[in-house]
Amino acid sequence: MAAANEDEILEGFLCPICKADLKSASQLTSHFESLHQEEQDVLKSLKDIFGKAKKIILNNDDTDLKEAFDKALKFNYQEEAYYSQEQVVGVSRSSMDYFKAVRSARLERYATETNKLLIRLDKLVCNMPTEPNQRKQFEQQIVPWLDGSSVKLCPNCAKAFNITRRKHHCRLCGSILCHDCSLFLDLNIARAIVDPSAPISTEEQDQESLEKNGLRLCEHCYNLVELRKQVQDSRNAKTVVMTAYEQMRSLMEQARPAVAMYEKMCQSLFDGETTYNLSDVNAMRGRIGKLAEGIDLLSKQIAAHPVTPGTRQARLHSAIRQAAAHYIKEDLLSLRKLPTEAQIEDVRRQRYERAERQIQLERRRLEAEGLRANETASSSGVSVAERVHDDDDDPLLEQMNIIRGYIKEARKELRFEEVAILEANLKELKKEYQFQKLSNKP
Amino acid sequence: MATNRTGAQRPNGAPQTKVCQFKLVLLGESAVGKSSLVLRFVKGQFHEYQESTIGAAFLTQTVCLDDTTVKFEIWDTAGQERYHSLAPMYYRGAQAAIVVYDITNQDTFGRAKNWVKELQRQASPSIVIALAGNKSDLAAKRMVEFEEAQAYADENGLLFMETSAKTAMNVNDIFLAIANKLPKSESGGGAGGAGGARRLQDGDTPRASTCCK
Ligand SMILES: Nc1nc2c(ncn2[C@@H]2O[C@H](COP(=O)(O)OP(=O)(O)OP(=O)(O)O)[C@@H](O)[C@H]2O)c(=O)[nH]1
Ligand SMILES: [Mg+2]
Ligand SMILES: [Zn+2]
Ligand SMILES: [Zn+2]
Ligand SMILES: [Zn+2]
Repeated sequence: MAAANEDEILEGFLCPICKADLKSASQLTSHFESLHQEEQDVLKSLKDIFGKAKKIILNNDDTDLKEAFDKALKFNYQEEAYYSQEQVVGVSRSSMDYFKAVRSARLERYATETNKLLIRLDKLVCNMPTEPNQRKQFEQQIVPWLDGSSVKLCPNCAKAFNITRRKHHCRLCGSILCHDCSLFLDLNIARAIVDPSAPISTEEQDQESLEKNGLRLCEHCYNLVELRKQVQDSRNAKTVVMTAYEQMRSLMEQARPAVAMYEKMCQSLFDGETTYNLSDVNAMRGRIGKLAEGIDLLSKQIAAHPVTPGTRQARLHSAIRQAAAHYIKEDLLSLRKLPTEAQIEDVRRQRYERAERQIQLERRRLEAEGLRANETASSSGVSVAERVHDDDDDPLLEQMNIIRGYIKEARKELRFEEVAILEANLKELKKEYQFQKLSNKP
Repeated sequence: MATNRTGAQRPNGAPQTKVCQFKLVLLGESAVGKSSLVLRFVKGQFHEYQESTIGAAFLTQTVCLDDTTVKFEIWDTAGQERYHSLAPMYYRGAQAAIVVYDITNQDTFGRAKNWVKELQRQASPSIVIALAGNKSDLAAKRMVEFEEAQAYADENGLLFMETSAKTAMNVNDIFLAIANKLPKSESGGGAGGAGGARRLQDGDTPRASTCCK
């Protein structure tokens, strides 16, 4: 033991036993725990032993001193003999059950107390009268107030009650406290605590109206209720990563049908159909690009979220990013290339020519079968229908125009699924119109 | 101050029969004046700019009572929050504690109450606790009422004085009051190993205190 000079003032991370300066709090703690914890226990048991020995000596003056010590120390020697054999690791026992028992008893107490307060809080906030006197009565009916006639000091801050420092009551436990020691719980927050599904008004009340309208609580009750609220909040709270991930998933959900639609539109162009324009398909491509950009950004955000490297969380974040990058590359950026205008022209011309040829063939076949009369009727019918185009009163025409308007709108908003359906509708209508003209022909 | 090999002297020069040694710990919020109180008590000094304590400081001082000499081993702890975890090491096994607050700062009084609570729970059950309302020279800026602290001390069975390290008011007195309240016989110590005073062995050299000059 380093002896301290009597006049010297020692200062630092001093060991309370040997007075060595350990230079830091952590070193001091570990020094003390490893070197002196046992020492102290031994010291204490030695004291006990010497105390016992002394008693024996005092009581039996004639007994030999050595014998007295032996008697007092006997048990200890036995113990020592036991421990002097080298110990091997023996049976181990789990203390988990004990830990759980202790812990659950404590939690239980906490929980029952909090529950009691919540039940009272629930009763208080529903049907609370607004008229001050009625409200006071109502409050006391639910939680009886402590009789304060013998209470001279605030139990919390020990200041004396007088005309200026009046007695107040905690609305949840009924105990007495002074105004300074009172805490106020916003009624809206109280309602949200007892009914988490209720909408919370987030507007902040100023202290004055809070004191006027809120529930006056003691520190103890306030803390329990506040703790409960924090647990609730933390349960509902989403982490930054979770929010980003959810957004990313929703973009992916949108991308899936968009890609399918794009493929369909592309195919339709390549087939020489006229349902979609090249600009339609281009707009669709742009939209998919935007979605890819969003997914890329969000997944990067997730990957860049600070976490301890090597943890499961870190691995999860980088896995999300990798999966997203893969998805973008494979599904969104590998879209089929669009045909050029010239290509489309080409395809359409080919298709037209093919159709022409088909008609020619058909015509020849019909001619060969000697049904020429029928054929001329239908072909002239078509020309007639084309010519009476300006017949505005026809409801079919009107309908067709409405549909054309719809198509324009849908196209503008990139709802190509709809465009396709409407185009098909329009085709039906056209057919029907021609058919009518034909049959109305005198 | 003279060191006397044969033991501390009574003012009349008669040799002392009993020398007791006690461990005393000072606790309280930072800057309430713990170190200043100890410095005043041990060295009779006061510094307007007293450095904040790091870790803990160790000092000794001896006081003479009628029939006993009491040697205090004083542990002045650091009040800053980050050192809080070290405190139990120092108050463990202590026979006395002075919990200090600053009468011009209500928060330090609250903190002092917490220290009292912690001592009542964790320290030796027989520990003598004194409450010191320091900086009483700054009465104009008082935020903690004397009556309020007295009432609290009475309720909790604490010695209580308002002190000033600056003017030396009540500084010696509070240590003396503690010395008087401590059990002086070996068997007088309470349970839990804190024990009573340790009687000095022959080799030990108790220093003469101010009252023995
Ligand atoms: N006016 C006045 N000032 C005091 C008194 N006691 C201490 N002070 C001043 O208060 C300041 C802090 O005093 P310290 O003794 O360092 O406080 P401490 O409690 O030891 O603080 P830590 O070491 O951080 O725990 C110093 O500037 C002192 O000069 C007093 O009785 N009156
Ligand atoms: Mg200090
Ligand atoms: Zn040590
Ligand atoms: Zn109060
Ligand atoms: Zn309450």
